[in-house]
Amino acid sequence: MARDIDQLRKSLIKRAKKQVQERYSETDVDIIRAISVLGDLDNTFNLLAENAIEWYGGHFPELQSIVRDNEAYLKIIKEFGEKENISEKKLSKLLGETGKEKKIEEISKSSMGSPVKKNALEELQLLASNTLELKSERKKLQEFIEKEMEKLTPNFSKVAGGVLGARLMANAGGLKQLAMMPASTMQLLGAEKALFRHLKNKKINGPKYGFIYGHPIVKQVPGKNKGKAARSLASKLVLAARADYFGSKKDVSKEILASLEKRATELK
Amino acid sequence: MEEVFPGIFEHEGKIFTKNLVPGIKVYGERLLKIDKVEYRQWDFFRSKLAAAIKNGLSEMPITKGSTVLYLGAAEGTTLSHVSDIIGKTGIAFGVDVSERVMRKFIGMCEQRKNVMPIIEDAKKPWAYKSFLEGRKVDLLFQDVSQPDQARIFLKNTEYFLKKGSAGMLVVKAKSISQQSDVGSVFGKELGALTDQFKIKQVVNLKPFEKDHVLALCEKL
Repeated sequence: MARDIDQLRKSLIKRAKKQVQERYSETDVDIIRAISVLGDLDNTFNLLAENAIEWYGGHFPELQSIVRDNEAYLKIIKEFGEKENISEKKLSKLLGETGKEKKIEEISKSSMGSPVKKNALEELQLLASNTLELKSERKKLQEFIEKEMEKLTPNFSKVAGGVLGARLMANAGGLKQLAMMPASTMQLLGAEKALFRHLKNKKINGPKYGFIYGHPIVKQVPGKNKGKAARSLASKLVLAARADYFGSKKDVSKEILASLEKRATELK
Repeated sequence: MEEVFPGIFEHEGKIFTKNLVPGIKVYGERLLKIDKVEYRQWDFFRSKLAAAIKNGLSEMPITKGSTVLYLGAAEGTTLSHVSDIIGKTGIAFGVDVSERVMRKFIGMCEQRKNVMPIIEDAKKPWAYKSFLEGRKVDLLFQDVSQPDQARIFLKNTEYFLKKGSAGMLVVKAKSISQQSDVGSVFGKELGALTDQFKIKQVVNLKPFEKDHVLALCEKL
């Protein structure tokens, strides 16, 4: 008897291990992890950039209101160091023609900022350059996600866009779950908090869109029609996901995108 | 050390089980050695069965040599203590649908020779009934976060429980409905069991778990 149980146990462990292995060799796993990393990279980048900007602000307080883009600001710290080194020419080389180069140089000469200590500046420049590295990693990761999504879900990713599509898929739990999903759920993925707030208290209006708010189709229609656009988009996204999961390799994305464009013009 | 149930000990307000595999922790719990016997502390906040014992569970249907089917095993926190209680002659089957949490669980199964992993959906008992090789279990324990908890429990009852055996069902009100009143959810879920079970005790798991009860029942 005892030996039978031992055998049963061994075979059950073997079976479970195989199941785990299979799950992690599925193609959507990498994408789901990558999209989570992408979100964390964004958060970390912003957090560190804000710190660096705050720090450099003591030396050149006026810069923040002129250069709004965190990435550009960090590049300035990394490239020039002390504000006295900033020159119009180098600026346009660094950031491209923005029309602000002259203004920045002028203000840097009359800035009210205090001088910065040499060793502090070194630290600050190191922080800026490392933070910028995060940005380049993010770019690579985004390319990876887009490429993998294109391979895994040719239709869905074309309709949703690579990163948005990956975000929807990660939130759903995988390609299979995505394909089994009703369109109304797809529409509200990412808006769970607002949805449950509404379900608990019917006086609060329910959400009309979650992640798909960032999709060009929803973006291009005016505010009062965004809900309608989101509804149409979600129903088409579900169709595309099903085509990828169940269907043959047929490309239905063109057809879907054309009908969505038509709908968007109606709603404008 | 005072034995409150067979294999379960109380010491300074905390409960413990005898470690079946001395020296090895399963989830970072405290190990305590008294008179050359090693005990593992059973965390009320991590395990709903421990919380129920703390909150006055009246009887414990398992002892050395028992057979247990545990639905919703997850990482095996509770099941590791069950494994301590039933000892080398007992068998515990742990069922969970998620490969993610079973990764840890499988590691535990390799150390504890009385625990077996089954990665299947508890909603489909027929998919794993062959692994129990016709055994009926002494205790069917269920802790799953699904909206149809009572139905899953009854389905499994049909396959694995015989008359007089025990069932423990953890009802998580928030998995069933986000909106309705918690008390009425409990009433409705437990009401569904009364055809087949005698409900002996319902233990609220406050303050360790919010909106959870554990129902101890006997198959009719």
